[in-house]
Amino acid sequence: MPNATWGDPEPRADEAYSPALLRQLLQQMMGQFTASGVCIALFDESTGQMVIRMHIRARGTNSAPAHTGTEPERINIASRRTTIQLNPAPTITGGLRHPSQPLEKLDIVPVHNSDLFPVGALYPIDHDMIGYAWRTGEAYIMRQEDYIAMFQPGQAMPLQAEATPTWYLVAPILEPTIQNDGQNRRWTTDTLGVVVLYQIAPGAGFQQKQRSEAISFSERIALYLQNDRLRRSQDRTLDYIRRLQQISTAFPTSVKLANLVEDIYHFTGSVVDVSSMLLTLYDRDMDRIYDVFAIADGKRVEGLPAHSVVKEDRPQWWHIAQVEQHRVLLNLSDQEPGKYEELLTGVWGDQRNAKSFLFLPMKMFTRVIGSLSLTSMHADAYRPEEILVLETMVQIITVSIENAKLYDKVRRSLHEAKQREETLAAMNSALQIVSSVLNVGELLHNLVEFAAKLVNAQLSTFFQISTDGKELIAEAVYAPTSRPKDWTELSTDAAKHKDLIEMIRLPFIGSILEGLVGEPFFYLDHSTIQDLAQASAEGGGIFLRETGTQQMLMIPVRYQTELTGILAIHTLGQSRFFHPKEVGMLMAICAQAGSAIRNAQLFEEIQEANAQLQYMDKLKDEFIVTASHELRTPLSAIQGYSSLLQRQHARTTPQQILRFATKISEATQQLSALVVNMTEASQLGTLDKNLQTGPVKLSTAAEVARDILSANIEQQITLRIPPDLWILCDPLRLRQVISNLFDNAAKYSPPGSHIELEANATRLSRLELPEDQLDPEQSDMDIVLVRVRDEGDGIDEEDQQKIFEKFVRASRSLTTPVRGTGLGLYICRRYIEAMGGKLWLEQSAPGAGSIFSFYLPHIDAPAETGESDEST
Amino acid sequence: MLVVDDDPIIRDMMVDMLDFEGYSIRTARNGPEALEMLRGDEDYLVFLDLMMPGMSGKEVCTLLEAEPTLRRRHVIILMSAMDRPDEDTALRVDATILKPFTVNDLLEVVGPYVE
Repeated sequence: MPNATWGDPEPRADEAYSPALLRQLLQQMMGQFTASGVCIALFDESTGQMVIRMHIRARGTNSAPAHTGTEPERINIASRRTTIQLNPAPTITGGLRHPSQPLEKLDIVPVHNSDLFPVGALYPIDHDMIGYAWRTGEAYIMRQEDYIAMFQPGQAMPLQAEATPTWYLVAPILEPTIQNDGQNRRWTTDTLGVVVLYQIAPGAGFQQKQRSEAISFSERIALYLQNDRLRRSQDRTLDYIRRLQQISTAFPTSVKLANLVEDIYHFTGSVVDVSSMLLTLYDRDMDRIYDVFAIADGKRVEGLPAHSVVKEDRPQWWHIAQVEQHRVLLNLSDQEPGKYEELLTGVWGDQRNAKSFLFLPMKMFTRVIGSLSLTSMHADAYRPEEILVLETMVQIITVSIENAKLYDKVRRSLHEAKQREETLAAMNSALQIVSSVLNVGELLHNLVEFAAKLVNAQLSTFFQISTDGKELIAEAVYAPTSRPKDWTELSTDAAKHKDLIEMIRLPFIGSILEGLVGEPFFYLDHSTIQDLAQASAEGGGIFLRETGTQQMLMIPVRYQTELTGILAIHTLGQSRFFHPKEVGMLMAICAQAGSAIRNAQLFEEIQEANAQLQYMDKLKDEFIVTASHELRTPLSAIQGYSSLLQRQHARTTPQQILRFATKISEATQQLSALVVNMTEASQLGTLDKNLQTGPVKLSTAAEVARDILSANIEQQITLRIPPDLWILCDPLRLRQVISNLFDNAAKYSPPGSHIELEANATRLSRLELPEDQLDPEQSDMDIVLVRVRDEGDGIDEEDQQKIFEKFVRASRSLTTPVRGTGLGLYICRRYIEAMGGKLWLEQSAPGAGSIFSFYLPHIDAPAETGESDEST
Repeated sequence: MLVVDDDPIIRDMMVDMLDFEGYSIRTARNGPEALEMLRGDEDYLVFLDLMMPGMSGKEVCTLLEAEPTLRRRHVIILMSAMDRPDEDTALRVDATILKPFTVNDLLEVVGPYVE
């Protein structure tokens, strides 16, 4: 079958009769009529003329065999006789010069480049011998002389150089009469062709009666031709069906439209003549029309579909394809030009000069999904049976396209379902991560990171509502690609940069946020963000500006009805609205995070309380150990002396009794002081919480301490404090510390010596602290340095550390046989540290006395002096 | 008799208690002082506080054992319920007195060694 070449159609496939059959028939006829040669002309629809299709001659009758051009074929006629039984009856041969010439000996050569009846020669009706037989529909015998006489003088005559026939027998091939149902039929279809038999040998001729024989023989030829034609048409139909099956089974396994249109194109070309073709599809979902494939005058139009159009741009196409849904078949030469202009122009060029046009809508039930348009440069190129084939093809591809679409849809929805499943799984695991973390910081970091990754955001922040509810404080930032890099660092090492992150603050009370947090979520546009940055504390403004936050999706996070904070998804550089599905997922996570944060907070509180308890427990153990050691001495004294008084009461002098009683009394005092100190110590665990710090005037506190103590000691206390020196601390604790230092100094100093308290304001950086009191993390600040100097024995170097470490040994390490309570310095140090200062032994040498020093934060005097003076 | 204790209250009290019974008492404030005194005199009985700064009662005991001239002294340990002298079994002591104690407790322990 043809063909891949467009615009250059070969002769119509169904008109090319089998040459083998033709030759066989002609050969037989030649034998029957003992003719020298025979040719057959058949009607050609495309030209409307008779065309010589075959011309053969008995061997030897041609003086110039070279003219055959090809190797002469030898055909064994005898072997063919069994299959061809056109006329089994013996031929009437009376009067012939070569009667009953045996068929076996008949040697045939095809005649090709003959001047006489050349193959391919055209004969219009009534022209020449063939045209005459065509018109009359009757057979006739003619001599050469009569034939020549037919030509008028001056008219070109066929040259007969190679061989000149003497007689001709011309017979039309009439269509079998069974087809003639008496209706009006065009006469041209009645005569399928014309057979011309001729004699070359002089003397040989035809008889009149052979005319009817020739008619009946040609009728048989007609039958055979029709048979052959039917068989071919059947073959072709089978071939179509096979090819259509191929097309239909190709889908939806190969759903690519490109492959589909290639198949359509090849198939269509094999069925009909196509010079141009256009495949147009209509997408119902998008309501757009696409020209997906086009052949313009044999050449493929590249780059399709270039663009889509709406139906309003193709009103004619829409009307015919979608509304009327019928095919259009036109012989364009008959139509008024421009009637189908829209269909005939477009991406496939201007087709208005084509001769035939076929438009086939592609229907799926009542919906039309597209159309196939064809044009040919031949008139009547599309005949009903071929249109039927094309319509079948169009139906198949329609179903295929629909299938492919459905297949695609199913695949897409499967893909979506899978994606959804994956997202859910990811969400689930994230929720688990969020929920299983009991560290608030880690949890929030997980939250912002996951939220950002989920919606492909470059930056996300969690703002927690401050304890006073006035501000939103950033607690976690996720900024993997942020510029400047500083922000990225914040998110990669969150724990380290906690302080920096917490500097990112947004106003809440009184800001636009306060009014919006009632919403499940909301967006902040660029101008709102700018306003917020303007109103926020420095860190928040810098953060929003430097990150280039253009828009923010804000999702309030709640625990029950209480607002915990807000998750912010930043959009950098440009505005972006998130898909409802994405927002939904984020909200689900935030809902989970709300309770998770609460849990983590509770857990941390419990942990803190637990640690506190453990610390208290440890402290209690220390108390017990301390008590057992410290209580031993006074208890031993009390028990020892009281038992001595009991046992020796008869022998003791009044002086002895007094001395023993004094010992008991002293031990009792020591015991009670010990109990007081231990009570103090037992409260150290909750010291930080119980402090009531405020501005305290140092001189006032020192004077009170001095006045309380000076009655009970034999040393003189001197205060050297600049006026109006204020300290930020708890006034009660400060006084206790000063009293304790005075008390210690008095205990270890000889009677009548001096104890001096000296204070001055300075900077922390100017102090020379002992190594163990240095705190590299402590930033410089204004402080008040207080020094208490005595003139006592001093403290041995090896004991100088111990006096602060274990309160048990504080007193025991002192060489001087004065019993203190033991807990004093330890407690003093704890008090001072809790108030933001340090306490240390500045100097101590045996015999040179000791200096105990401490510092506390210095503050300016309150505006209204006296107000903050402590009352006790 | 020698009382070794870093606590003056305890030292004074021991002296007062034993003085009534007619015993001759000396005191030492710490281990080295005690060893020095023991080397010079023939004190028969030593009351030794276990918990002392510097040289502990245990160390004093070990040194007494090490010096042949001092080995034959009787040692009575003064200790509180929290102290644990028995952790080192090598320690040879004749008796122990738990603080706090009465004068009767003291005399009861001393009794066997003074006759």
